[in-house]
Amino acid sequence: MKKEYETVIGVEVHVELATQTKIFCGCSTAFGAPPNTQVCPVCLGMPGTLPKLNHRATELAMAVGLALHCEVSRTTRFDRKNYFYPDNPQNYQISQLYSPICKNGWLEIGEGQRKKQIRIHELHLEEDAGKLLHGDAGETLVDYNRAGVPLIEIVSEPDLRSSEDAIAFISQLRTIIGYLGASDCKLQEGSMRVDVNLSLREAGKECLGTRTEMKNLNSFRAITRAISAEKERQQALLDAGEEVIQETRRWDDAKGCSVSMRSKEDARDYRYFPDPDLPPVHISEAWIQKVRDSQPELREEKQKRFVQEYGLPEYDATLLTESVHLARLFELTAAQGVQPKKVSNWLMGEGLRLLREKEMDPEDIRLSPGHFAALIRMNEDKKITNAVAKQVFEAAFEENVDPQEYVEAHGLLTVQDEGLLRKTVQKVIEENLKSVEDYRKGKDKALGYLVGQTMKAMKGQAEALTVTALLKEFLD
Amino acid sequence: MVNEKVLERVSRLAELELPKERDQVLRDFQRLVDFAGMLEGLQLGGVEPLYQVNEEQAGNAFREDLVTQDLDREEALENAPKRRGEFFEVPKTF
Amino acid sequence: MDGEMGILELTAVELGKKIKFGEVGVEEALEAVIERIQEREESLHCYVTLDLEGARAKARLLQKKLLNGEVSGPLAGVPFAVKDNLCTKGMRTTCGSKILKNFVPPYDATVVRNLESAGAFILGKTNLDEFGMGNTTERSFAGATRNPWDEERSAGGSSGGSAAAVASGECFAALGTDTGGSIRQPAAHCGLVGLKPTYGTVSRYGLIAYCSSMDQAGPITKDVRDCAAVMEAIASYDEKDATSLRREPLHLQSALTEGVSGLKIGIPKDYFEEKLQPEVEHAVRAAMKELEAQGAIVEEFELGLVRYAVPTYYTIACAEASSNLERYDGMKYGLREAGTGLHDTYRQTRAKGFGEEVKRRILLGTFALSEGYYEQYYLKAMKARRLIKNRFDEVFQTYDLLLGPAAPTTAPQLGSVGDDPVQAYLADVYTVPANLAGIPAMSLPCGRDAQGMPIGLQLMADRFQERTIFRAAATWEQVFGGFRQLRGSRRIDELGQLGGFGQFGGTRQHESKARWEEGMGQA
Repeated sequence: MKKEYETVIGVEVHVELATQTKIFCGCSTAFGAPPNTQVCPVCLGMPGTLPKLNHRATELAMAVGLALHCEVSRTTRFDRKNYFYPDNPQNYQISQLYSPICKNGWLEIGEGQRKKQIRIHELHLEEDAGKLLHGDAGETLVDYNRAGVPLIEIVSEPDLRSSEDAIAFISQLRTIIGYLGASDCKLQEGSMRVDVNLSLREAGKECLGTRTEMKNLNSFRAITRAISAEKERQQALLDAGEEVIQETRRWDDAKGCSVSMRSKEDARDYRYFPDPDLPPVHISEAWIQKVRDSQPELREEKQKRFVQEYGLPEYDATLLTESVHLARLFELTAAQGVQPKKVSNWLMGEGLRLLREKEMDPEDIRLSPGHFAALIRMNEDKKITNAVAKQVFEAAFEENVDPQEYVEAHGLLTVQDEGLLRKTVQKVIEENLKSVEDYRKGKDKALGYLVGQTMKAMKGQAEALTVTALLKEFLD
Repeated sequence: MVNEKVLERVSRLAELELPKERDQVLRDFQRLVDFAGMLEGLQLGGVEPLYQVNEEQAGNAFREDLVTQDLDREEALENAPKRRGEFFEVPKTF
Repeated sequence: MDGEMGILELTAVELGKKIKFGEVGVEEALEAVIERIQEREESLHCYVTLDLEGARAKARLLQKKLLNGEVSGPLAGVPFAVKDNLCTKGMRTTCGSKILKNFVPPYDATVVRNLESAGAFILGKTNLDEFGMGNTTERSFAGATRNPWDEERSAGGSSGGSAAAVASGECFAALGTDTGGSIRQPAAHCGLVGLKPTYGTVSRYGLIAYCSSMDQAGPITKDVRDCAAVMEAIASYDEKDATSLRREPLHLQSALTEGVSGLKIGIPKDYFEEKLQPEVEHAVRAAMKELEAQGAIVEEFELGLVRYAVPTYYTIACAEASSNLERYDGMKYGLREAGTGLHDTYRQTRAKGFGEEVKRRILLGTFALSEGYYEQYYLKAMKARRLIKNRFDEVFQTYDLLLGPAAPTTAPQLGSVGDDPVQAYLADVYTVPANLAGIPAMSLPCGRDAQGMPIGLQLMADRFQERTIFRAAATWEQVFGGFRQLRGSRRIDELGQLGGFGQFGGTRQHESKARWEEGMGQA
């Protein structure tokens, strides 16, 4: 009889903080610089150099921790994690093990009945490593621009039970961090990296099974697939009476499988010890309060406020507030005097569709609130049809075109000329006699077809209602 | 107890190749470990480790988030044992 | 003016004054040093790197700047040597190691920058035990440094090169670094003044790290007044060093004339029970008596924890060093040895690039931090460190200063470090406690043994109390004399009885050239 297993998942999320400079030196963290131009003796680990902690990075870590309901440590220290690798200039990473800056928090995922709290074990600061590249002749090259970029690592307790849980957790985390402006959290770009720990627990048992760690998960899709595959792999092992080996596995999304990276034999001994170059950081109540006070409105509050202030349904509020950028666009547009529900409908409908299709992030939307509001008004005033409005919206989405100018330049105003309309309706009737006959026989669908044909002939610049009325006039 | 296996492990962690003739190294290692072990005799219950001698004096030591440029690429790569264009070249990693 | 020999007799402050008043030129002083280097450097081997042309250029420039008032100060125009673990921009910095044999830093250590801001200039980098690990300056890839007092003997370590350079006249003053006694012990072995400041007083930026929680740079000078001048030039808060402290101005100059009246000086009884060379004990006790005669209250007491200090020090120092030295891997700078693949390259580079002592300490340090041993070794040592520091805090409630020997013996014979690696460590018994507790400590000369080798005494004070040390040191020096007097002074076995310090020549004037040559031994 096959045993029943429960999937137990924990995640470790690394997030690159959006500071101007690295965590321990003044080198810029700006994206896209030529290799080895954002380096200095400190982040190159040159002899005699010393680290100095970035104040803003510390505050951002506190802000994220507070938003995750963590306790902020009154005294926090840095520890050295020692291991040799060429992307690590000192061959030790300055991290935090013994006294992380934040701990014991939680994050809520799910809706209504299925809401649950996922506990957060700790959040700590650490430095990023450089980048290894492979050259044409197979040689390994190192760019240290990224070495020393500030990271926070957020470690969850193994409270997740499925890939849906994991995705929900990571999305929530991303929303919160985005709201704080602490990072742009882009999985594909590496400003957010997720490692998944997974084990199977026999149903009804207390103790946890052996877990594996999975790396190289660069998208939500990869995370979902990896969790599914690992669950199956471990299940197969256990069913065959074999043991799961504690190891780190690298997910290959192209192949849809994972490969073992390190075995237990080689278990790393990082020899963590407190970094003598960095005195402990004392965090006062006053500082914690200041960070709390200067926190922008967070997602949960905004969600509630959208329902109350704008009379939006909870569903709308949830979708709109998932990204602080989307929420901002909504509010600023509504502030222009257009109906909030209309703005919401646009964003939830066309907006989300375009984001998906173009693989964009909400913060990349270029459409300005002013133009957005103008577009909505033009549509309301029937100057443009719904179809045209959608076209203009798409154009303005990435390039913020002025709707008025665009419509005029492309001749997209709704045709008001009744004469032209009548002529077109006439022509459509003449070209579709079968449908006319069908309609007269009682098939309402045929009318819809004729309306559609007319709209097509009018290049979408006729109001559907007008067209319908005209057709009926002609046919009845 | 310190033996060759421990020495082996330590040399791997420290990325230090040991000579084929281990006896002297092992003897020295043992000697040093024993020496460090002389602290066994101390009563250390309830004593907090001392990490920073100036723990009371040192206030928080922070840096403002302002960009500085201390080195240009040429200076950075000048001492590189092996260089390829804009990069440091290192033995192949996998 | 006496001529070149006369110039080399001057202390740094004396030279600075003569330069200021135009009695001696900067280039003139430098040429005197260069001539001495040509005479003695080949046998003494104080320097790893000498940049004489560069020094001449700097001297010329400084002379100009002095004349038009751009540069001033007590040390302006004085040629210095700097230990080769302090980074100097554009000048090779090797740490006495093959692994950094060709490393040229693109930055200066803050301490070097401070010295240059004071108008001094650097003519070269001095020899040291590799990465500061040793107390005889025999463990350098560049070979051993000899003691100018007796070339068969060690100059002490790890700042042996700096001490030998000052003692032989190959520079006027030098910077060393002290992690477990590496300034104080060579100073003692070479008849000089050496100070390790309160931890955090002098920036560590650019000081190539051995044990980060203990390393401090400091002066090695001919006399106490020079030491004060150099300290005031190099001490500074440095925002690049998170362990650097903002301190009140040191006010050392005024301490030089304050005397010791009313100061309570403690003598750790347990320092005199170890393997102390009898002549060293005699000389130190004589100094005690004299300070008492000068108005200090001198009292013996039990310090305690003495035999735990050295193992505590070595555990911590090796642990931190094992991490600090991980960066030497052949990837970004320094030596790279060919290997079959990444890890082999690391292993070959480090095996060939590091000397035996460095490797031993890395192995111990790695061990002490490793899983299963961390609590028993590293953590235990960190707790022992707390005990030792607490004890000093307690002791300094009662005493203003502690006085004792700087080293158990005078300078040992070269090559006398035997097979037992631990044997040499035990010689650090008097010096490591100050590093563990972060307190200031100075060694200064108090006699010579039957072979004529200098004996040093050590003064320790509570953290931030350098001034108190300088009060006592200056008082002692006024009675006993400084470096010049030491060379001409009678050896301890020639004295009838202890006391009667007039025999030491106290406030004598400059010695004659003949006396100088006699005192300096064979050329």
